[in-house]
Amino acid sequence: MAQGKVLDFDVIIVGGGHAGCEAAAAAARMGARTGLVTMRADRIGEMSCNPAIGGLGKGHLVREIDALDGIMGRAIDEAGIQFRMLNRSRGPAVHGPRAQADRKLYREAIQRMIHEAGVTVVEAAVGDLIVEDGICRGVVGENGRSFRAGAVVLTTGTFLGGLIHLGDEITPAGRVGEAPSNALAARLRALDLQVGRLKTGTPARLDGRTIAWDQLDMQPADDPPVPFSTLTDRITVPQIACGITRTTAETHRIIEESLHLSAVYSGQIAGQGPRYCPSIEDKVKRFADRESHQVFLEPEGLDDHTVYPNGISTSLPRDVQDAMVASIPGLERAAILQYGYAIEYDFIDPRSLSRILELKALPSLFLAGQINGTTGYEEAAAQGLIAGVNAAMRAGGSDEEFSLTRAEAYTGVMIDDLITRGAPEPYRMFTSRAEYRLLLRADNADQRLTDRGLAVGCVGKQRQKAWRNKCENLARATALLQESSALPKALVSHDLPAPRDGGRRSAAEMLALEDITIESLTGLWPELADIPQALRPQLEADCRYAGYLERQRADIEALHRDEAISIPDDFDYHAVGGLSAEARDVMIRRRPETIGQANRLPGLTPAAVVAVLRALKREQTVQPVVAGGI
Amino acid sequence: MTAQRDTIFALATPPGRSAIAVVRISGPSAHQAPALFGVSCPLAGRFAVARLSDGDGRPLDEAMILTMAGPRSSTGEDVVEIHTHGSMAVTAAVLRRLGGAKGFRPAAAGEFTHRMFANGKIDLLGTEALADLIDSETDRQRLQAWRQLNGALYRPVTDWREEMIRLGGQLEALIDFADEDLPGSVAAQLHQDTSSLIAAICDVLDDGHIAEQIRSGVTVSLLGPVNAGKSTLLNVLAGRNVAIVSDQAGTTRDVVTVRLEVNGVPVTVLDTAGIRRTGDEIEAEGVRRAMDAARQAHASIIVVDASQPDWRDQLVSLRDLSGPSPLVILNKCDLADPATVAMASAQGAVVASLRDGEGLDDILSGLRRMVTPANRDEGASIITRERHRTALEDTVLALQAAQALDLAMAPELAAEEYRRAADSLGRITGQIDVEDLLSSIFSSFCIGK
Repeated sequence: MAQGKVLDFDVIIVGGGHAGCEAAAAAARMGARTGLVTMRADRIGEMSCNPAIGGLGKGHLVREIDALDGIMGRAIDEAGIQFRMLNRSRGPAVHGPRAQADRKLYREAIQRMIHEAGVTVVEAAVGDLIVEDGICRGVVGENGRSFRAGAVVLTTGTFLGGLIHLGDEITPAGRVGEAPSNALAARLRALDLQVGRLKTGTPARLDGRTIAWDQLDMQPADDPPVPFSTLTDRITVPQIACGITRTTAETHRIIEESLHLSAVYSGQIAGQGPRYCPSIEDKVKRFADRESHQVFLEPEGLDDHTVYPNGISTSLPRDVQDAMVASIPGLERAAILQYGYAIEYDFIDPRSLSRILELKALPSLFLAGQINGTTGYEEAAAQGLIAGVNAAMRAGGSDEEFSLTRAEAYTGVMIDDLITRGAPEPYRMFTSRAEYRLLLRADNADQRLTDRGLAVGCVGKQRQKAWRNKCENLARATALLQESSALPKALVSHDLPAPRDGGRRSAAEMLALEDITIESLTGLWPELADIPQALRPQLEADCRYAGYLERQRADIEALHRDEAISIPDDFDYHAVGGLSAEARDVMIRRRPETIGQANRLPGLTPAAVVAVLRALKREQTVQPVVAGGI
Repeated sequence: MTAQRDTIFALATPPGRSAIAVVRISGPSAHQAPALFGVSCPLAGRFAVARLSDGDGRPLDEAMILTMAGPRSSTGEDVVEIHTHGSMAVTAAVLRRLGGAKGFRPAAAGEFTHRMFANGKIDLLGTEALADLIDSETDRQRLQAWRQLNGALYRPVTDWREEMIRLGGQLEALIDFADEDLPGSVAAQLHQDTSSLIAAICDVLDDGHIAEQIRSGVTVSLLGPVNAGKSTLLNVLAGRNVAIVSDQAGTTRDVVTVRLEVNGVPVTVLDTAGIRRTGDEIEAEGVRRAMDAARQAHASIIVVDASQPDWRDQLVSLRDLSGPSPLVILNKCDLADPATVAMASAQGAVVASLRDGEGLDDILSGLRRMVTPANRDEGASIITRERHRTALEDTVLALQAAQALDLAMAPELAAEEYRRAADSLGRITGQIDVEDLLSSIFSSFCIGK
């Protein structure tokens, strides 16, 4: 390690947001002495935007974090005040667990878990990196104090060169009321990396005591709430309902008349914003035919009267925001506690990262979260976990790498997308991004990942024990479902559909049919009643999708085969015949690590990838050239 | 960054003696090629006539040199063509000189087309159409290859691909944005639009395989009892003696092939041994081959001897062997009972006496109908390869499977089918990316609460 100089930490995490906390906790679970450097310790685990965790695709990420013994799932289980399973009536592969959070409870849970993990929190603003022999060896605070470490993870969120826009006011800030990290931004820009600008926005916060709740439709929580973590038995936080209202013609008129005052529309902001999370200005402008847009009124806590009006993010001037809010039913008298704004920030082109989120140009420096062009707490946390585990291994002198493939996890899909395609807009997870969606379910994250986590060493004793126990139960139940079988006559006598071919069917085969559950089979096979409730969704989903998963196996094998063909770092693309100038430039710029990655690079035709594959093979066997004029 | 890629060259005309020979050169150094022969390179888009000399300064040939500059060239790279006299010695000298120059090497088979493809000058369908054009033997093949080069299939496939992206986007929006304020009509509209897409693809699939037949030709098996006159028919059609014809039953013991051009379609006729139960081992083998040939052929011609009393029974058993709607020829009608002949004729059989050339016109028009069904518009048949047909059939099957699923209950399974459909369609022109779907979602719905 670092040439005999005394290390302050094995791993230093810069930033105390969702990426930073997950990275710190993961590095600590790996046994690394971990320091978390942040400007304000009391803001660790803060939810800067929407106080909610999960959703479609995002909920999958949280379950994956939990399967690798991360903290986000357990924290939201302690802080969730409205649990809802999205798509509940549909197939298990597209169930999306989501929960509204009490922001204070969430922050407290995260801060306690960071402390319990043995992470040392240091309050400082980081302004520089220590770089020795081209390797990152620590950070330097803006006050001049340096911290040496074996590896560093940067999770600076929106703080790099952050600018808040509110009407025509521009304030340098990382978050409302907090200074940006301009020195660090300048340091990174000097590293000759591709740095871009992105933007995101947030709505005004309302005083819940001034909202006419009795005039609104209310959306209740699920009963019973389903926890995120497999270590949580049940949710004990009281559950609340959210209000629903809609914008009106008057709202749209106010916005249209003031569009030129919006920071987004006046041309004041250069960064690209997300298409899936548009400001209300965007919605009114782009979907002019819509008469009204939904607004969810989400309380930010049990004993906090702040309300987050989800759906009207804006950067219009204050007086326009006042008028706009007052034009919405139920909000006529609502007081604004904090005005909405847009924030613009630097991000590093994630195509400069390897699949363990290490900067290719500066080994031992890892990046995770919004700095990589993503948006969302869950996306940030999942990257943090991967970066934290690998930073710990790097600091420990190990060459081992921990990465997940597209066939293993949404986390793998996300990182692969980031490092191959970059982030032309803030990157958010959707289930449609996963080509193996039926396999990568929220219900089987532990089956997919916990053994991987145990092998690398990021899963603690408690989860190990719980998982071993669950594995045995799963194996026993799976065997039982396969062994229990019956002839059509017996099936019919229990009101079950009989196969047309007159053949025998196992319980597992019956579960592939729509509307059949383990519960509905216990009449015929009473022994199935012993299968624990907690295991059933997982078992039912496996049986339901068995036929489709079989079909995908060939695809997954092809993926693994392509991922197994690595392209050497010094591979000479100039020596590849039949490669267009454009394709060659893309390859040289991107330097894909495997043929699989090359396959997914935008701007590359399949023919170009085949040309590279041929050239790779030719390095082993020399092939004769045949003449011919076509 | 300067390109270091090889410049490739090859003789583009067939080797051997000819009036002219063309050497094609493509790659970054192509424009330096004329200098190797002591002449300057014409400007791009121009040609020049120049006297080439060999490496020792001795005269080589007077040639025309044609220059194109990438990317506006046939391969997308810099291209030079040297048109010499078609002498084996001259072309050998030119190729030798090029081969000895630094950065030049002989092209591998198909490498020019490969570079066109890699540089986006041509897509997969275009590559195939170009090969078809080069291989074309008949006018209809040539015209069809041109239709294909002009996008006859490419255009509808591209439209379907766009529709597929839109439909996939609608479905993914239903899944990924379940908690958003989507219009309630999305699922019903999706079902309806998918039906329209299926109908459009099926319409193109239901083309009587005309374009495939024009491209790869039609195989017709000739079936009949021994000595009914099959070989005589073949000889009349071919205008030459290809099969041994004699009056002794069972002369044709193997399958004889004749290639004809009927209406611009290459037709291969397989003459088979007469079918009868036989003790002769060699002939039994011939009969077995005849039955194989009948199974492989696109269509069949049945010839029966009308002078034989049991010709009806023979016809019935031969119809079992042949495909649907065979062309039935009633031969030796001059020796048959006129009433029987009249009845058979009314049922669509061609009445003939092949030895006298009688009925030949009817046979020819029957053959023409067989290779190009009259009720089909030739231009509307745009599937030229089995590969396209399989891919489109897979697309339809997947979409039909999706239609059978309940979008409210199992949208994720329907989405798997749409993905399979998109992959199948993508095998023809190119992949559909998830980013395409997302762009479609964000342009048609207001997402983001």
